[in-house]
Amino acid sequence: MVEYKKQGEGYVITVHAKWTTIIMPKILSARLTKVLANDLRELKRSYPSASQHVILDLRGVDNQKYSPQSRSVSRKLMSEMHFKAIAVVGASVPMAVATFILSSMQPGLSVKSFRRVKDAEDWMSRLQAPPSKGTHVLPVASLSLIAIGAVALIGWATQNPWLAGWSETLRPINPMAAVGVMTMGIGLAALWRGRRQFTYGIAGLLVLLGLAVLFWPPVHQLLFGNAVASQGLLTRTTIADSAGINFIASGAALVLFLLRRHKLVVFFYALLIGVLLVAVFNFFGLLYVPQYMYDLTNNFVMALNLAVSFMIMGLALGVGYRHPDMKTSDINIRRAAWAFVAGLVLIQVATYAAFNIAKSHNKDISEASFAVTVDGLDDTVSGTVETYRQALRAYRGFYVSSDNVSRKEFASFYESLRLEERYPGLRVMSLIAAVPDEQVNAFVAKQQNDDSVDAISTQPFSIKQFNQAEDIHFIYTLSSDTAAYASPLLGLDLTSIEGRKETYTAGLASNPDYASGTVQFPTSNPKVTVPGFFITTPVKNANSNQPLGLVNANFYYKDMFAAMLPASKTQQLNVHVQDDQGKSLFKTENVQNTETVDARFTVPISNREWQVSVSGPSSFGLTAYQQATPLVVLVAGQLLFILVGLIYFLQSRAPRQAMAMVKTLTADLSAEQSATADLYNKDQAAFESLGEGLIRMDKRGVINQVNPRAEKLLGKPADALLGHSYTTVLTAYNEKGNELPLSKQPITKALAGSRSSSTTLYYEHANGDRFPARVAVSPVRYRGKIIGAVEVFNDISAELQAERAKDDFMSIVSHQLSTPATAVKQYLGLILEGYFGKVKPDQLQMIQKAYNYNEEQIGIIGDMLEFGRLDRGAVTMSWNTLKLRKLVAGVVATQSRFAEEKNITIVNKVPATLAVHADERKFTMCIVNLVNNAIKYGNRGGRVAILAEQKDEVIRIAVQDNGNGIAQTDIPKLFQRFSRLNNKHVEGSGLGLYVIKKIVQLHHGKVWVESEIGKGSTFIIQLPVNSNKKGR
Amino acid sequence: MAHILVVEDHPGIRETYEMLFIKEGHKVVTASDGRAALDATEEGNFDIILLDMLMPEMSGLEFLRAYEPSKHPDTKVVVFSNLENPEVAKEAMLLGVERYVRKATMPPREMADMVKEVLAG
Repeated sequence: MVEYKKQGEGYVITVHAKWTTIIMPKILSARLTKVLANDLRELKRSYPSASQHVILDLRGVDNQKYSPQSRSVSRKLMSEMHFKAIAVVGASVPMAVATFILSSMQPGLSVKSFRRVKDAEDWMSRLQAPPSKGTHVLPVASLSLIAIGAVALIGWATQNPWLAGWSETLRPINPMAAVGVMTMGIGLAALWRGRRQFTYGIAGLLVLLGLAVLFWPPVHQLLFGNAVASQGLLTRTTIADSAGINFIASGAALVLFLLRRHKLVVFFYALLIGVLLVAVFNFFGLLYVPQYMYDLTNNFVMALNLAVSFMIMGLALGVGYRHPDMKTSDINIRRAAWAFVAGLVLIQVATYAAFNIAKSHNKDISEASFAVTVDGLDDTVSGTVETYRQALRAYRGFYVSSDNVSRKEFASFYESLRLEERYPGLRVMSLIAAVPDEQVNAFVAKQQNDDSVDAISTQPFSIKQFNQAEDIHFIYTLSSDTAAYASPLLGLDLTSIEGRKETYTAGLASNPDYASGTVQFPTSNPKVTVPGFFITTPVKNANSNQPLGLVNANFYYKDMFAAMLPASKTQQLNVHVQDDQGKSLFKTENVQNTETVDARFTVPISNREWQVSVSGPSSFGLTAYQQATPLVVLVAGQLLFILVGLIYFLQSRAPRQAMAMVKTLTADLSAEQSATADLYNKDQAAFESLGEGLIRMDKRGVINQVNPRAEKLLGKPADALLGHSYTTVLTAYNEKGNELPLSKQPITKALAGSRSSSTTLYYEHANGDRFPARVAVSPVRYRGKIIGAVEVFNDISAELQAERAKDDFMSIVSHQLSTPATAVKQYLGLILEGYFGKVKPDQLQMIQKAYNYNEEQIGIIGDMLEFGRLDRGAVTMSWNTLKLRKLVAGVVATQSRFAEEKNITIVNKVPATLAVHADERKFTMCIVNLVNNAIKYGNRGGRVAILAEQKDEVIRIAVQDNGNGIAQTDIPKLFQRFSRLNNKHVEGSGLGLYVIKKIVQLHHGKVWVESEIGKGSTFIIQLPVNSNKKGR
Repeated sequence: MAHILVVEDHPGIRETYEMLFIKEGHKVVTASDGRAALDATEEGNFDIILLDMLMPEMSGLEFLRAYEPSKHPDTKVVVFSNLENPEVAKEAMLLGVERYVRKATMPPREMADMVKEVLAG
């Protein structure tokens, strides 16, 4: 409801019922400030209440365009207006500045800044409305939390997994955590009700709960945790570490909410952000990637409803904290940059710590996983080797049961082994017959008689590269490699091959088998050999125990290891197999990684061993999520760092700009100050060199400043005056030499607040001489209060002396003149009045003239005497009630002689009823003078009329002539001293009208003239009816 | 016919008043100051004393202070002076003066009438 609206130059003042909105102009010049200030003063008079509550809309303000003078005027205005509350609306810089300045200007003034006018208006109306309990966010959140906790507890009691966890698959709330949630709810309620002590208590409980969760593991399952777990329905009922941290953070945030220290605000928000981040992370993680959550770390996962509770808590605290009703101050000037720096450092340290924890956790997982994998490899390799050996033994057994194995039998046996399928990597199996030298021919014959050969080979059996020098020949007899039958290999006397004789001899003696070293196996291409090895085991006749030969299992390393360590098992791994001589047998390079884990194991192969080295990346066995965790922690930490930094930056921007403004203002102030100092110095100089004595006193009358002249006049040094009360060092006396009572001293009156007065009194010089002093004392007021008085005084002895001399002179001269004039008057009078007989008419006429001129002279002397008395104020009034008509008649009688001379008629038109209160002699003198003037200035044969009338409380007496009149320009000069108009034909002292004016003033009346050139003048005296009572 | 004492220091004024009152048919004694006037009152009884104020030797006021009206119950005193001092006038009236007139404003006839008036009571 608008009560009043004023549109100024760029500003708008709108008065509402309870407040006034002032939209400030973009540019505020010094002149415009004054205009605005006047409007506001006017406003204060018209709307005293609404003008005390002001919404200052600075949104359109260009701060640079506000002149320093305008700021100075504004400051003065502030102290005048007695504002009670000011809501500043606007952009950050002017708002911050204005808020800062306004709040520092007037203690007790409520100042708040707002971004929107609506908020400011809400504040204004709330300010004047009965106090409310503010935001509804806190109670709603409180009830929600208590409800969640209660529902969770009911869920536990009824074994309802949904109530306890809002999901059957997710982790349920721990009953103790549910109690914690309800505690948070109670804390919010206490905060809302303004119960500080209670809230602190709740905060303490939450922190204790959190600490217990983190550092005292049994608490995880305290209360009903174990019972819940034992129900079987609900699993994972421990309170997560993240929940513990959030409980601590919530408790700490409650405390910070109550403390509301500017330095701590950033921590408050950091805590809230932390709580919210953890809660949101859990919330979304549980809903959308639960497996990832559990993979991340089991301890981190809180229940879904617990996460929701923390979100509610964080949001409620944040919103509540921002709510105007919950605030005590809105000025966000922060000086604690160090607190932000510390906070930022803390975030970095915490991030680094969390990163390291995540990393080492990953390493643990990775190492464990690697160890398992390596064990698996070990088992695989060893097991495979063992199966080969078992296959070999089976093969051997084949021979053990029958001395005479035909090729066909072998082939079908071999086929039954399903070598490629069951023994991958086994290259070939063969029988090496050990034939003593004397049995070679029989052996060959036997082989050639094997009719089964035809089925697989067309080539007749023959001994190749026969080594005649041997006792026993190791002859390649049977092979699973059908191609071998067509090759020069079959029938080959292996003793002719270097190193084989020793191997087979050792194999023959071994039990149960023997492995060869690395052998270069020939291929169908004679120039190419393939590295490998074989295991050989002796075959003995079951009956004779005669060695028949050896069964061989040949392996190409490449094929064998590829089969044993397939790519699927060595992903992310580098495997290196070496024989006991350190010779590299097999190597995979699947991973290029600087950070590795590694392990070795030994695979025994009959009489020898393989060394297997396995290495893998440090992230071995981690899921992509797990691998990403340290990085996520790092990025999240940096984001928080940036966020907090940003908060600080944004929060500190306004103060920084405000500080810039403060600098400007300081400059203004110092300019003002130096101007003031300059003025003061000038004042001081003037003060020192003043020709008058000057004494300044504080409000108790203690003298705090005297100038040299005062010291000289009083004959006392400044030391004898300063710090003393005027009552002891400034005794005043009256004209008669009596001490002036304190209450009559001008200083006393001035200190009591009476106006400046100028009086004459007597002060005593230090040498005892008293001197008359003209004293003027003024109270010194500052902001409407008397803070002291200042007295200016001077010795007026010389002045008084001169005055007296002048008066004496005037008096003497007048008397000396009047005496002979009186004698002349008497002589001429005696003749004129016929005491000495008849005189000739022409002689009489001349005597009459002489008499008249003498009369004129007597009149002038009378004026001079009267003037002297009036001028020095030495006049006493003797009041009488005078019949006006009679008085005028008397005057007319004395003046008729002069009138006759100019043939002027005097008419007394005064009504007989009128009477005046006047000093008879003085008032008569006025009328005489006026009538006399009228005759003097009137034209010959004219008319002078005396009129009078009473109008309400005044009586007017007019003396009218029909002379030449007075020029308008001359009128103001008329009543001045010695103001003879330029009229050479007229005689007079020039004092008459001045004397009239003075006398009329003594009667509290006034005198003026109305005149028109050529028509004559009217002089009017106006007296109040009770002239003697006026002005007393 | 009345017996009049004119006390006036200015010889011209003294002479004009003496002539005026003689012409008016009174018996006139003059004195040039208060001292002489006091002496005159010792010697004879006057019906009226016309007293100036400003005089050498002894002023009119001093005369009045020294003058003992009780010794001259039938003598009336009129001050005629150009001195317009209310204090003086007040004191004079208190000392028994009948009238206090400004002699500069009074032509001879008026003066004679005034004296007649005073004498008539």
